[in-house]
Order: sequence, then C-alpha cells, then structure tokens
Amino acid sequence: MKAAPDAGTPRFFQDPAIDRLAASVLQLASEVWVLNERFAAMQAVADEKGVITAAELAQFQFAGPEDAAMSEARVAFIRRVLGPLNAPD
Amino acid sequence: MDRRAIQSLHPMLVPAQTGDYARELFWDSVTMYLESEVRPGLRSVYEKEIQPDLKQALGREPDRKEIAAAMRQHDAGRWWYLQRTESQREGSDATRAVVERQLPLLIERAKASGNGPGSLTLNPDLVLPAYLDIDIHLQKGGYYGTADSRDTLLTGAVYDRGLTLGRMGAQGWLNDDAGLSLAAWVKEIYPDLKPKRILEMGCTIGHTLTAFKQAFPDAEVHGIDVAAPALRYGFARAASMGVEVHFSQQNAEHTNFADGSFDLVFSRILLHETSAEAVPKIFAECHRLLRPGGVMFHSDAPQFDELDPYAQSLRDWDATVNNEPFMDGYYAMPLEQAFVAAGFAADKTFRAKPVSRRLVEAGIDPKRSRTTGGRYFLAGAVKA
Repeated sequence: MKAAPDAGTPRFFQDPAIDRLAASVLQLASEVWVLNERFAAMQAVADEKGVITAAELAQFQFAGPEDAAMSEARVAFIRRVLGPLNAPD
Repeated sequence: MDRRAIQSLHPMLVPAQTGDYARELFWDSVTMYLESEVRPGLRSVYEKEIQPDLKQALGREPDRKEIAAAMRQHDAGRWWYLQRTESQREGSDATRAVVERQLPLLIERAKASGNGPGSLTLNPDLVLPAYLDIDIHLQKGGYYGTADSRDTLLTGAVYDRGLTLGRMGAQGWLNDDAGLSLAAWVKEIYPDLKPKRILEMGCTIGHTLTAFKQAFPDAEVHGIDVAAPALRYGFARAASMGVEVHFSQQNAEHTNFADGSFDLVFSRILLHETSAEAVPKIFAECHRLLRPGGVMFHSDAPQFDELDPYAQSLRDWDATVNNEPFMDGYYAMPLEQAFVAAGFAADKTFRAKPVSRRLVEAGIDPKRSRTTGGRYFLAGAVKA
C-alpha cells in the first residue's frame, strides 16, 4: 500500500485536494472492509468451536508484545489512510 | 507498559471495553501523527510556497497572525486544521463516552476513598468567570461541565483518562511529569525555601500537586480550581493514591487564604485559559498570598518572545479552533512588567526552562509531548 500518490498520478479534479481526499476515503474503505471480513471470520470460527463469548471479546485487552505490535500497526494504518491528505502536491 | 496496566494505574482509572479503547487510541495516534509527523513539514511549505510572496506583498517579514491567515488559505494548512479539529473532537468524545459508561463505578470508587487523606471544599455559590463560558478544547462545557454533568466528577475523569491514555505516558504515567520536573527545579534553584505551605492555582485534578506533595512531604499542599467536577475527581484520585492534598473550589483572582500564608504559589497551563483582565488580578493575588521570600511561578507554553514568528503562528489553531481565545493575548503579554505591576520587584523576576525528568528517563520521544525538546517553560518572581 502506498503512503501517498506517486508523482505523475493522474489528477481528475481541478483542485488536487479533492483527489487526495478521495484517495484517503478509499484507503479507509479498504481497511474497514478488510477488518470487517477478518472479524466476521474470527467470530464464525469462534462460534463454530464454542470457544469465545461476545462478553469475553468485549473485555479482552491486548498485553505485552501484542499490545506493542498493535500500537505499531495502528500508527502504520494512520500513515496509510491519512498520508494522501498530507502529501505535498 | 501495556494497555491493561495503563488502565489500572490507580483506582480511578477503569479499563474500557476493547472496541471503545481502540477508538480512543486510534484518535490519539491520529493526533500524534498530525503533530509530530505532518506539522513539522508545514514549516517548509510556508517557507517555500508562502513566505516569499507574503514578504514581498507586505514589504517586511510577516507576523504570526499574517502567517496563520496565509496558512489557513493554503491546502496543506486547511487539511491540517481539518484533521486536527476532527482528532480533537473525536478523541475527546471517545473518552467521554467511555467515562459516561463508567460513571456509576467511578462515583462508587470515589465514595470508597472516604475522607482523604486531604480534603475537598466545594463552593456551589462560586460564580463562573465569564472567560470560561466556552467549550474549552472542544469539550462540551469545558472542564466546568454542562448542566447535567456539573454535579458529577465526569469532566475530571475525562481529563485524567484523556491525558493518561492519550499521551501514552509522555506526561508521566500519572500525568505527573510536570509536577516532578517543576518540584525538582524548585529544590535545585531555591534549596533554602523548604516550603511549608504550597498552593497551585487552577489545579484541575491535582496531577501536578500530588507530585509536589511527594517532593515536599512535610508541606501542606493546597489546590484551587473553579471546576467542581475536576476537584471531586482530583480529591478521589489523590486519596486513592494515599496523597494528602487539600482541594477547594475558588477563583485564583481572589481566594480566601490569609495574607502571606504561602511559601510557594504556582500554576501550570492555567493562565492562557483566563483573560487579560484576570491575569493581573491573579499575579496580585499571588503577591498577597506569599510571605516575604516566597516564590511565585507560572508554567505555560513559552511566551511569543521566545519563538520566531512561524512558531508563534502555530498557536492559531488552539486559539481560534480549540476554543482557547486568550492564547494569543497571554503569550504576547510582557510578563515581567505584569509581575512588577502586581508588586514584585523587577530584579526579583525570572524565567527558566526546567528539564522534563520522566521524558528523558523513560526515553520517550519529546515530540510526543507538548513540551519543547523535553523542557518546560516558566516565569515568576520572588517576593521581596
């Protein structure tokens, strides 16, 4: 995934800000859908195996290295989603 | 420290549900991304794309207001303002939603902290200063609270949770880095002061004061604020940590303490939230409250005369969007003149930049803090 449009990326609107906004929204849509599908798959497997309840899921907290990895992934996610908005023309 | 440990630092912090916490952390990370990765790059946008034309048009170097106005008209500036406003509002709302759900439990825990150590004295008749009738930091009701939250501890809990989880330890895990750093500075610079009574004006939840009590365990430590929800929460928080602090709901412009009754009076990021009329009164009140030889200091972001015009212009978002309208007026104020007008001698005034202790010790990137390069700024005076 790219943090910002490459140089020479086609522009479709007179105001390049609109292109950047559209890129950001699409990145977000992509990430949200991936998350949706992964979460649905996890729930389906958990239900099938009877290993996790909705309450257990709501109370779960990441800890230790998993928490650190999640923080790193969150920052990378933000860079991907918001990068196009903040890229120089 | 992982997220479970962070949310269990003291009894007044309660772990949120996974999704809610993910939302809080997401908006905090957006804020940090905008502040530490995007904003530094805006200076070169200004210097390359705006400054040359602006300077030519004006026939001189632009001032902070002209720079800010030009940045707001540039796409890079517009996007930054838009995103930063969203991150501020959404982050605050995310934490407020968590605290609202936890409120019954927090009230129960506050009651369990009993009668101290320390004390809490509220004044329901206190008139809210007109300058606080605004949603400071884009929070509904500011820290004073809205009509439906004024009698609770909600805004205090939102403030603590937001600072603790939001900055991920950049202000100390107990939000006490400022307190520890400033108290250490007092000890170093005024080794003979040995304060017996200490007052913090605008103490909110007492996170700075608890560090002063720990640094000066024999001192009687007082904190005042106009926001009852912050004081209620602060008292419960300090009591749950076993730290003796006396909280009272008072306006720093005129308190009920006796003349000359304190050795040390200070504030931390209070004055820019007040007004041009209030600040001289607050300085005069500090002078009245100090005994001869006592020390007053006010720690805030650096005054404009410490910064170049572009750095000055960065406060524009806070002042015009984040509802801190006196930011521009306060940071432009010639503080030393105001200290003298309040009764302090000109040769007894000072400025200092104490180093952030925890930031350095914990190896936290200073960019994650609002302090500049791991230092605090303060200005003050010694009473003759």
